Amino acid sequence: MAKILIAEDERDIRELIEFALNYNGHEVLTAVDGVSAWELTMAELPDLVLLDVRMPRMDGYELCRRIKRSEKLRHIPVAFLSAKGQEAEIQAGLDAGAEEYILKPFSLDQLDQAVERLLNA
Amino acid sequence: MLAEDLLVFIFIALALLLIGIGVGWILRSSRTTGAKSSDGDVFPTTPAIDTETQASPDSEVLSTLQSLHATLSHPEDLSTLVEGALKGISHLLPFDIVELNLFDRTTGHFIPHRLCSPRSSDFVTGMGDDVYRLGEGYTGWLIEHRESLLLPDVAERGDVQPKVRRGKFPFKSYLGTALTDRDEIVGTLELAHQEALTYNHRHQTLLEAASAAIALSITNLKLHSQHQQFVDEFVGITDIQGAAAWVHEPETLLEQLSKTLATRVGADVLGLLLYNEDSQSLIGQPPFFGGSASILTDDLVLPSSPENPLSTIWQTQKYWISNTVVEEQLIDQMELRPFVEKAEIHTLLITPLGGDEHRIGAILAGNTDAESVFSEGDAEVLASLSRLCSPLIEASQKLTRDQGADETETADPTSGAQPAEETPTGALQWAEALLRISAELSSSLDVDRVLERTLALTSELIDAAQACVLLLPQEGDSLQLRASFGERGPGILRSGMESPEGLPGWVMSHNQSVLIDDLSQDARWNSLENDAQEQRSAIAVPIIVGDEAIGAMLFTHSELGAFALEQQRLVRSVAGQVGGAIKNAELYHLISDQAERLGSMLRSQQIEASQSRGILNSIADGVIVTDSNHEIILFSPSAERILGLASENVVGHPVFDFIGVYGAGGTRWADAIRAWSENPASIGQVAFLTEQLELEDNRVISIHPAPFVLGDEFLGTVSIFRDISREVEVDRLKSEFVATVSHELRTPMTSIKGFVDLLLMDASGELADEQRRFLEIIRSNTFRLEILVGDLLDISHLESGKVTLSFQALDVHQLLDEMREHVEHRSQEEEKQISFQIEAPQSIPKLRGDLERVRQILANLVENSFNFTPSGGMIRMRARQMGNQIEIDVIDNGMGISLPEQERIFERFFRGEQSLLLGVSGTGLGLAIVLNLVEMHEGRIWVTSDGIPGKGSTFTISLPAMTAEDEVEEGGE
Repeated sequence: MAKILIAEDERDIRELIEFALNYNGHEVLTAVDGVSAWELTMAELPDLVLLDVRMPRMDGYELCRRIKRSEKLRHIPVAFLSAKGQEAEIQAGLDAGAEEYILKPFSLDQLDQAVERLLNA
Repeated sequence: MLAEDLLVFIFIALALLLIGIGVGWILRSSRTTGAKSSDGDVFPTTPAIDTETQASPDSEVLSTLQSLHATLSHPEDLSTLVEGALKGISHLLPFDIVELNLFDRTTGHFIPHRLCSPRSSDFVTGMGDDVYRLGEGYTGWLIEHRESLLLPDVAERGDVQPKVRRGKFPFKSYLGTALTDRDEIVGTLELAHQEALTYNHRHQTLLEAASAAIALSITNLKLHSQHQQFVDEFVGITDIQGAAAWVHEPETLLEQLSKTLATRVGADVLGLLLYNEDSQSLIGQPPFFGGSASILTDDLVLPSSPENPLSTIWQTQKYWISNTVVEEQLIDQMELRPFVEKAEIHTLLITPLGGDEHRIGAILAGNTDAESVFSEGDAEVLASLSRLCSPLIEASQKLTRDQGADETETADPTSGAQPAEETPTGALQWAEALLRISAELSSSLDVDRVLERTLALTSELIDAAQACVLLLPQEGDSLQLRASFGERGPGILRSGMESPEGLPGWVMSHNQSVLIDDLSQDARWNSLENDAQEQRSAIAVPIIVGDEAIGAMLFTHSELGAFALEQQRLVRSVAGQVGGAIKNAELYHLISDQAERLGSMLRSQQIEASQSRGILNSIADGVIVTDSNHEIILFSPSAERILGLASENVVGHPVFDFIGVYGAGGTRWADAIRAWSENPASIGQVAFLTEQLELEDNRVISIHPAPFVLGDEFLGTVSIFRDISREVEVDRLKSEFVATVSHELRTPMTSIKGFVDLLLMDASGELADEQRRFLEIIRSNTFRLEILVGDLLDISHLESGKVTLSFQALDVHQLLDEMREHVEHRSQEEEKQISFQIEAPQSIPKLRGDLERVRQILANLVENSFNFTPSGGMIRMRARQMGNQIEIDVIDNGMGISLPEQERIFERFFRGEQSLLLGVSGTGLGLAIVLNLVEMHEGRIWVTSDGIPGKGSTFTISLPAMTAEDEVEEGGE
């Protein structure tokens, strides 16, 4: 049972992940853009942040960098969920400080495994 | 991508071709503007290039070759040619002795010209005993084989050795080559050195290049002198025919002839000696061209005794040249010394006067200048013209004699019984007729027309009933009728007349004219199957051109004894004139042909030169040529345009001076050029690089530099520049498009896939079996879509060259084991029985490849085999070493691939009939990706299959093995 923040502008995917995580018994917070995700992270201190790269107002890279720069938030594991699969894009995500980069489309198995891995790290 | 590579290759090939021409004219033009050394020597002032050391001045080799070409392109005469050739060689190659043997047509020998020291500039001609003679055995070998011969150590070539006569010169290393002009051998060029192992293949290449220039020069010279000789003869013949008008005035005639002959052979002094039967001596005839008449009239009476060498010349009809008269002992024996001294002659040419049967004297041609030597060509011209002169001189002499006789004979009425043709009027008539014939002969170059008219005139004159001219054709030895006269026309011809046994053949082969009073008694006539009743008497004379009988004239009459000796002599004179006319016509055609040939050679050279320049200038791609010192020697107009630099600002500067501003690509380009020039051995197989320059205005330029190598000698580089800004932009847009599209596809796929997973997890309630089955179908199709998108992105990246490989040593066994796991996993997963076998020797070397990409290649192939092999089948992987490559087979016993499909199987989106029938899922991109990846590894891939189900197919990839050098390189990184 963990508190997981999802930052994703695509409603369907947001709903999918929320459902899947809830199904596995996690508490889920959702944000539709980078700025609200940042505010929510500051306020709620989730156990894990899953974020899209391409989002309105603030993109995932920037959000990740902010989390990792913050003394208070640095410990929170971050994973990107993105359809951007080019090597340079993946590298940019990891450079921003993310622990994982999960390529869309992913299977729910993959998602579950990644979440478990990050929470237990 | 492939097409683009091909295009690049063509451009580079074209550039390499052009550089040969281009560098040629650059070096030529730079030499003409550059300062020459003080003695006007066009060769570099440094002595022989040190070809022993690796750091040889390569551009000097090139420029020496170019100088050689330039010096030899228009040789003035043979000695200039020989001097230029030997001098050029001494700048190019090491030797203790060099010998240029040139074929001499007159003697049929190869005359040696040799230089006994690289530092000497005077060559020696001839075969004197005081100079070393290279082995005739080698010369003989070269002439026989018509190629070059390299003997680094002469002791080692047993197969040539036995023929060798090495002479006194103890050489140990030998290099020679044959000089050929088209198919004809014109000489040999041979070098020898006292030290063994002096010569190598590089020297051989250089010698061959130099010998080609020399052979070309010999051809030019030959053509030039032949042409000159033809012109001399042609003009001479016309002049002599013009002189015929003076036949009534012997002195003027002789003056005219002497003048003509002297001019034609370039003699200062020319005199005619005529044979006098009464005194059995040769008597000088006044006037004497260019000299004092007194010299001849007073002194030149030469007894033609057999002891006098002059009589040998006169008798044997051979010319004689002495270009060192002062020292010549034969002059004394000829009793010509007083003449030579009085006329102050230094060079002398003597030719017989008159043709073969009726020699009437000799011609003396001399020069007061010792430098003005006579050539064999001069002698031939003079000998040929003298044959034409003799009938005129004879006619003139006869006319004078007869006029004299006329005066004495009128007092003696008994002499009226003489035949008509012996009367003075007859003689005059003949002389006039001869003149008319002469005029006729010179009136046209149409041989057949001239022959018809001449036959008619002559027949009329000697009262012949029928006549004909037979000539040998250019090819073949059977005579042909060229002209005829008489009522019965060609009826005079009998079958067999054309054969060598007939009468015309006889006079030709015996070089003698005949007068036959009774043909029925003559075997040469009777040997022919003919009706001899019609013709009773005949005159037959050969037509001589040069030394050769080219035909015969035949005149017949129906009465016995119709012809007299005088008529025979007249016909002989006519035949001489006819010979001259035929030769004249031949020469005219030869001259026009030669002129045409020279003209077209010149034209094509001009066209070639302007074409090369035009091609270089009009290529849209820029061309930069650097020499071996990485200095720019050519900067084409397109290069100026593309790089925005003026040619005059960069030519002559090292390439590094301005290339630094073009970023990393420019530096790598300059580095490559520097590496090639500093270490030519590093070139190895001709390497083609591609670099990109990014200009300040965001334009992108691609560069393909390539080394320019002659033999194993690095001479420079050629770089092709192309503005590829547009292509780069298009490519960028394409990748962007593909990336966007795939991103946009993946997002909805995430939802589909995720919710199907949720439903299948019974996360929204339990599913009925059919619902579950339908969802499984959606899931598998989503998976297919996912693969397609992945492959699309992959191929787009590969083709845009964005994928870079990181090479490392890969263990073949490990790779194959991974494939085994892969197959076994799928076999288990899909419950499809496929057995798997590996055959690979333990000792197989490691592969040089990118781990992920090689895995991808093998997995793709194995997946394919798996998909197309029914349950119970087998996949075998076989690895082996083939030279520097590792070959890996993926063999299955599945459906196989038909031949037509094999040709298309590596195309993008191609899917075979079988895959559609079997319902095997796939994108049609797998093998296209594999092909791309294999080629990026500098490997090859091919497929073999009989297309028979159950016999399967074999895919083979060939990838480079890790070499020791690679290992070191990898280790250093």
